[in-house]
Amino acid sequence: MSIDRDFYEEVILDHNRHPYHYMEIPPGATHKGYGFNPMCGDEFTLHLKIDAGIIQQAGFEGVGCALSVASASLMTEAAEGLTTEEAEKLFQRMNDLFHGLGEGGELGKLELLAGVREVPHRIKCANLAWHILHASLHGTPVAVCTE
Amino acid sequence: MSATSLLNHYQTELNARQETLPGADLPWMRRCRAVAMDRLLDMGFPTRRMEEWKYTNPAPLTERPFALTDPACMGLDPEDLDAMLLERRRGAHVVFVNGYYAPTLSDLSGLPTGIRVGSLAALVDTDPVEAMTAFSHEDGCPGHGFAELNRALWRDGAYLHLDTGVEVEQTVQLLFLTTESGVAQLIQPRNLMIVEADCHLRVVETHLALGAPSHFTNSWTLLFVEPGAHLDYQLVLDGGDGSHYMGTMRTLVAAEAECRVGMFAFGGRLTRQDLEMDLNERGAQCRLTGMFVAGDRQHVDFHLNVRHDASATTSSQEFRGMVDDHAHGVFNGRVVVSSGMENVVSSQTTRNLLLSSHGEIDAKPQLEINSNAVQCSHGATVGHLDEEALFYLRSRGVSETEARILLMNAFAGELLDRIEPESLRNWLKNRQQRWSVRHEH
Repeated sequence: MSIDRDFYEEVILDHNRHPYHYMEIPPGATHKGYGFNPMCGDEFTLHLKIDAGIIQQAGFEGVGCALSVASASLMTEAAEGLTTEEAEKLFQRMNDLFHGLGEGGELGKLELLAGVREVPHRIKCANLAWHILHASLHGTPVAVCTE
Repeated sequence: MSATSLLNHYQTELNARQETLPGADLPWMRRCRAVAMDRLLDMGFPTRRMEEWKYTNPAPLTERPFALTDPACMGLDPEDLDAMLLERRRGAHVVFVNGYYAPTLSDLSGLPTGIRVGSLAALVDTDPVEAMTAFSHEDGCPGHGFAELNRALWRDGAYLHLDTGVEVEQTVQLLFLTTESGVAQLIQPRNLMIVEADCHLRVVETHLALGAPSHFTNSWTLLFVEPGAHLDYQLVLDGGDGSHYMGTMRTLVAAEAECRVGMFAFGGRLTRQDLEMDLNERGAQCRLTGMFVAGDRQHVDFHLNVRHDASATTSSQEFRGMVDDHAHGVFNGRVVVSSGMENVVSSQTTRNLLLSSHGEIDAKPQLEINSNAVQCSHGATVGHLDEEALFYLRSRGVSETEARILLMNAFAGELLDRIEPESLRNWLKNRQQRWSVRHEH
């Protein structure tokens, strides 16, 4: 699967400069997740408002490198409107994608994040937001691991 | 922030997190936390006006609130910790990141049978009766607000129980890692180690940092050394220039048991370690060694209290300190011999080096001897680098900078050369030598 580098950079940089749902805490948020990546300095808190099994609203706050912010932005954009089961499945697919296990397909813009596979030591940056999503759905943190 | 607002902040944190703290479903744990919070509200945090805090202003710990955080996803792999481990292949290590146990980063595979190691928070669920021990033995221990704060809001810590007669060859390392964060966190390890009769164990507890965090680590450790056991406990405090640390270690040594404790502090905005050592039974022995270095406007305080509550007990304290710039180092070594005790031998030396004209060192030996048949000695020195020795080196072609570093390393080396295990000795010497280079003027 080849990725157009210009398109990748455009979308990633755009999501970094104007991240979706950044510094927005949905009123009446029901779930929360916190994670950090000390080797890079990324640190985020994710707030979700889940009602009737569906993620109604998502917002995140924190600081991080361009890749981690863009990934969090893309994640909150994708997660809104999904059921918790769909969101969990999406996390698994993204996790597989980052570790080169999945084929992608039907992930739309999210497939662009697969470009990080070419820079393995940055995988944790891209993966962090997704692990925080997984943790906030389950109420338990999961240590991020690239192996 | 006013003292009242600060206390209210911590009380609010306890109320808000009651259900998520370990032991939330155990009435005795809830009661323990509530009682501790009440005592904290009653006594408040220490101030400079208290005798035990005369030389150490606790303001950096009490002028602002520190936040409790939630369990986190951590972008850390075992490989990221390589530089922080003393013995990568042979040793066993238990890792805590910002106060939370990190099982994926820990490695307990090489340990023999007969040793239980892990997280105290997990123990509260699996063996609450054993966990209760971590909250005992506070009578006779001078209480202060930080100890109550730990008791009220502790979240996790290291648990270790060695069965009778087990000898552990490997060094067990407890790594407490703090990482840089947007929020200044309150990290409160509560550690429990029980070394049963005739055991041999060596533990190294290291406090290290990734980045430059400014968290407040408020730790409480309870050690039981049962009859005939040998415990070697080395503590390395290297949380970084901006770190805040208040540690209390309470050790109870039984008959014919030996406990060696080493403490090594490398600066920090405020680093204070209190040690309460109770030699409760005949033949109990302890050997305490340690060294602190501080520069800039850092403050380090070692506060020791050794109680001889039985005959035929021995204790020794050997400490060194080096202070540069406007830093402040404090050594308070108290020895108490109860009345009626015989054949008690106690010695204490503290030697300190002032490397600048603005630094300060307070060395306070304090002996309370209530018995005649004892032998107690103490000695304290504070001085500068020997000008003649410097001149000697310079006249032989060594630069002034080089000469100062040589003398600083020699001063520290006299103590560090005797540290075991070798991995720790090399670590400490390396670290101290890097500090010397930074402070050679």
